[in-house]
Amino acid sequence: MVALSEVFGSGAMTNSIPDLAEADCYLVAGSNTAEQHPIVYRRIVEGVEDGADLIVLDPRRTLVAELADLHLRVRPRSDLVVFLYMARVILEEGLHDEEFIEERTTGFEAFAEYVRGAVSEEDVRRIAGVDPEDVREAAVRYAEADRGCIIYCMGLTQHDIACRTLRALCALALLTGNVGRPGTGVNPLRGQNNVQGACDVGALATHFPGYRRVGPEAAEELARLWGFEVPEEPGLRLPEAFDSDEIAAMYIFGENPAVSEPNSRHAVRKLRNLEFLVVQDLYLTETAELADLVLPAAGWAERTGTFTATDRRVQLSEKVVDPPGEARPDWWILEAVARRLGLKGFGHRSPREVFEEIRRVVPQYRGITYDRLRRRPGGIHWPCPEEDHPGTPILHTEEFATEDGRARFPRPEDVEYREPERGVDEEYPLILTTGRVYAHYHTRTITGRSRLLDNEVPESFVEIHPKDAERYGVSDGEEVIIETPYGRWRCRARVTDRVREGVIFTPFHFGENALTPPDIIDPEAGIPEYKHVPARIKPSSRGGSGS
Amino acid sequence: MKPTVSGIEVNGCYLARSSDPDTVEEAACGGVVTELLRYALREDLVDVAVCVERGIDALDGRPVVVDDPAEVPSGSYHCAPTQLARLVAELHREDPELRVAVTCRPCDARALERLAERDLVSLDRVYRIGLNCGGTFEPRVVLEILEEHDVDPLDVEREEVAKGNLIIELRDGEEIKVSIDDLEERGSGRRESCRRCDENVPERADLACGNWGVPDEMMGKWTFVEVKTEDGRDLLAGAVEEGAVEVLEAPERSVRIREKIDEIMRKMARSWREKTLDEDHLAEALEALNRCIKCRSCRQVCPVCEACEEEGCWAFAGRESVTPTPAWHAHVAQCVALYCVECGACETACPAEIPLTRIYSVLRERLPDLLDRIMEGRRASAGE
Repeated sequence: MVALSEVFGSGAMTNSIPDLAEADCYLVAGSNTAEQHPIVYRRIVEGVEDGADLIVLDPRRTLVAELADLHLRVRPRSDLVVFLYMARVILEEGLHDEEFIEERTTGFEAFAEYVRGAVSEEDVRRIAGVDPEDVREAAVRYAEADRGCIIYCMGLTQHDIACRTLRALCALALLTGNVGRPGTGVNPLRGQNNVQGACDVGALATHFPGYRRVGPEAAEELARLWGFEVPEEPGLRLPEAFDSDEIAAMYIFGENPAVSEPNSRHAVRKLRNLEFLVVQDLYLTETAELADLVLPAAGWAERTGTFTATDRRVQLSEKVVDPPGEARPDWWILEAVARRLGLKGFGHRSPREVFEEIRRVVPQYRGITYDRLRRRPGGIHWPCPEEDHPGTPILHTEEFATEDGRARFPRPEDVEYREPERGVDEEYPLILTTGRVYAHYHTRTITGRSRLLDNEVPESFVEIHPKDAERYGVSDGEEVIIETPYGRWRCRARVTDRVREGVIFTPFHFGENALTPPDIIDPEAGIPEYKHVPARIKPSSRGGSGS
Repeated sequence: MKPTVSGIEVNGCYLARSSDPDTVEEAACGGVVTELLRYALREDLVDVAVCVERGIDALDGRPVVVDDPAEVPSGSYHCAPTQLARLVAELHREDPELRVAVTCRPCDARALERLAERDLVSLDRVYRIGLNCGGTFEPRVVLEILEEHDVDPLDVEREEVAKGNLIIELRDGEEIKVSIDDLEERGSGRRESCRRCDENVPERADLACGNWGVPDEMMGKWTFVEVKTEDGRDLLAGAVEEGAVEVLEAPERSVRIREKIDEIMRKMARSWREKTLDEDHLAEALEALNRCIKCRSCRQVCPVCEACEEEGCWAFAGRESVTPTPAWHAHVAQCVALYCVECGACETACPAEIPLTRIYSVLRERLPDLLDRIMEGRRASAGE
């Protein structure tokens, strides 16, 4: 979100899901689209059936990679090098869109000069572990397409160099003029059905509602709207909160950090040491079990409200049944707590009143109303400034959302590749990367309670390439121990060439975050490094006991 | 219990319309279907009517169960992927005694029959008011047409299919008329399974209602009704006797025209069958199975599979992999080859765009051959 809003002025998917089908070339990076975003996958399949090229960057041969014309099996955390090299090829081959660059962007000269010398063929081989010729072909195909479409997900964002990587990726779209038309753009896929909405209304440490950066100016504006004083300083980002001694109490809802935070042992220690922990959730999660107070929340069919999908589409979802027992909608519980605390700015009596406030405070939502949403089951895409505005499925068609209306090529120092704080070495020769599997969602709070889904993938596993398996004496189906500088994990091995040599993969659903580092984060976005962890593996029979 | 009246005969063909001028104005083609459902409820011939009502816009038809004659909706919906047979099975699961009147396209009627074969629907408690069908559309096909004409879906008053055209009537009285042939030449148009379907007049219904054969000057205000069964005869005759419906003997010419249209449509369907069920198309469909992500949508929408609720089937799909085992596809194929009604619901639901119905249609087409060969083999070995 940080990089995207810096370059384009808006930190969201530039296009809408339906128009993705119109692309001539897809560049899918760090996204297991078939398993994790099947609706987007459907549009990609549609495009490919119509003859579009498909380029996939992923250390694993996922289903969408199998469909690809070109699968770049990069090492984790090396995408930046690939994108910089692609930019270099596009310039060398003269495939950049001069008119677009001239009319709609700034900062091209400095970026172009930097890129021409930034990354060598040798870097591509050494760091990314792919053939520079393949990267060259990817660059040419993407640049030559009339409509080039970039789709990415957490394979790019869950790294300590995420912002740098995304800036370079956005620059590819700017170089080739692939923004502002159907089937183009830079499209991050959000996981939950409403993570976009949560960001829109300011559930972020660094931004107020409507993506106003936290600071005196925005604080003053909001204080006027809300009628009470608003902090001028940003809050702590999640990993920082888990590191801070100052945090003595937490109120957590819809989140299970005991399993999802990097280095779960570190996270659980923090949760245990809190003076007061409140957890509001549908189920008694691992985090809720540590709480002093658990507030039962209502599920999606038990409450009315809006969801904002990954493509900025706001949809209304109406309550169909009453919540069971003492469970209540999240907004109702928050109101009740606020009332008892005597907080200003609350007092909403319905989800509609909450939405009316969102309209007042978030400019992108101003023209969206419950009445309009009731008439439009397909929803309305923000920005929607007026009540007679149809919504905006595609961003940046005429102007970018920056102050001068032009997109900004990143500055050279902001896209420079940085070596990892801790790379592979003799002690930890493998790279561990983590991700989701089709049958589960995040910490299995819901999917683990479905017999059918749980039965699909009932336990943790690690994917390891046959050559690595041979090297470390691991056989298929055998129990193994994975060790990283941060923790230890026991699970079953799956020997498969779906994962590239030198890389092992585990899901993060079952507690595998025991292995991830607690303190390596992207300094700009605050997102933890979940996908590049030095690791080693051994059969558990030889490893002795005690995990 | 069911009223009998002379004058209306099984296999007879009639032109009919509602006696209520408001209903004629409001409903499609004279409102006979609406009126028959109301009549059946009013006279306590059935407990509920199962039909389709308008959702958000005219493209959005929603299945609905009503027990109050005043609440019976009207209108025709060619882009609603409704599965009314399934809904009847669900009602009969809850209450096997429930008496139902249901509107059904030929594929719905086929599904009802398949469900009845497995005792999931009691057909003797169901009035099947059949609707002629020349094919249905994916909603997005019609949305694309509307977009081309710069029309908001909310401004659509109603849509209908007549004389090879999709006609979209707007609230302001304007009309958009698109030739279905032209659409299909452009690779758009009706669902693929609908193009191949050669049952336009529902054979397995009590009544078959449609606008084919209605004389030009009566078009849109009258419906051509063929009585297929005694139940159908009694229902129509009762409604006439009560004064809810007006009927005329269908003129010879109307009957001939209807037959002719049916013949043309069936011929077209056969040519689509040849075109889309050849080896190349089959190979393409089979290859597309590699894209399956085991989401189960196809099974969940299948009118004849979901209702059987054999969860054990799922074990064939295998575990721990997003792609199912080949055994899964083989299992579905053998099950579906027996029961498939070629409604195309699975294909519409598939997020991986696998032309599933195409595969099942080929299987069904070749199955009789295969069975013959197996029987021959048995006879041969018995003779040894």
